[in-house]
Amino acid sequence: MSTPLTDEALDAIVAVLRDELARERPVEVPGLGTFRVEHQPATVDSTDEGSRLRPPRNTVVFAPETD
Amino acid sequence: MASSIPSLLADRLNVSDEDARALLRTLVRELRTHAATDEVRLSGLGTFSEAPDGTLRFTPAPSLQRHVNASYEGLSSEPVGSLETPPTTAATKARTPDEDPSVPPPDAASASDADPAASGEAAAPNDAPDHASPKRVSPGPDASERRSPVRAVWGAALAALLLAAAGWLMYSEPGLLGASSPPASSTVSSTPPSDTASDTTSGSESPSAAASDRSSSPRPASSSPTARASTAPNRWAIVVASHTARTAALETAQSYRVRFDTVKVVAGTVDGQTWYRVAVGRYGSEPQAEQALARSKGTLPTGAWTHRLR
Repeated sequence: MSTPLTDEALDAIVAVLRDELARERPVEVPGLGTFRVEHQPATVDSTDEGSRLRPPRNTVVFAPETD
Repeated sequence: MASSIPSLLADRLNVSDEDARALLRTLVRELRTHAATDEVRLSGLGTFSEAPDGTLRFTPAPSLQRHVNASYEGLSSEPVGSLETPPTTAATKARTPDEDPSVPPPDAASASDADPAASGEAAAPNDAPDHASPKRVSPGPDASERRSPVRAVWGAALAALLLAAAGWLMYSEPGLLGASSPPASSTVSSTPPSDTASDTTSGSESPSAAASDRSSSPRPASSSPTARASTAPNRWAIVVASHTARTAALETAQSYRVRFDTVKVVAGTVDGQTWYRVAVGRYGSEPQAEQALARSKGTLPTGAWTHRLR
């Protein structure tokens, strides 16, 4: 018998994931995969038109669970 | 180590760990079932879909990307300006790494700002490797060796006279030194002030910036806790631009002064890189700042952002 997935439960799952990722902590969801935040430091992109400094940023990546 | 989502979920929903696991199992099953045929979008999180090879793909939602980048809010890419410095002198060569914004932050020369040094404190820690560099040539010893004894005596006498005059001035007008020393150089510090290690309003308009910045505002609020407390009620502002060069930020700030009573350049350090954000207005709360931003849509840059000043 499965537990019904209510809106409240779904919102709670999303909120937990968002909070943990905001703290840059990886989160493993059993049966699904692992979410984590990858930090990308500031970089300088050089093009024909000149160089641009890009600020640092975080990116969310997901590694699916392999069977 | 990855967080245990079942226990976090159990805490949030005030249910048992087993119930939380059951909820997650249901979610995963539903997700996988629907992702096999279509995209599954979870609001606030992202979209799941199945790749041709059967693996699950996830595309984060824009709101999640913003959420994990909260500490970098208001930062945008900017052109790295070329510096007009004479390429031949040794002193210029020695200073170039400091002025090059492309130098990685962990590097000691990562002041990252195109502003040339002006004060002793600005040259303190970050310049250390430069002093140690064999390329750096100090003109001092060579010059003194070329001096004749007569010139040296006259020089010493002149220096003593100047010192005496300076001492007399300091004695007669104690506040004179503090007020005049920063503008002694017309240039702006190449390294951020030491108080910019954290994002504060305090370092926003340092004395060294006074050369090009309007000096109508009093001393930075950082100098005393009481001063900081006095500015506490209006801690929200709108960030309209951010630069790695203080001079660029000051220029931008100047352009906003005709429209806003309060325009500040707020220094903040991110990954060792100092950014100078141009913050306009002062608001008592985030909703007030958001309302002001909404009212000013069309007249402010599209990337303008409300920001809590610390």
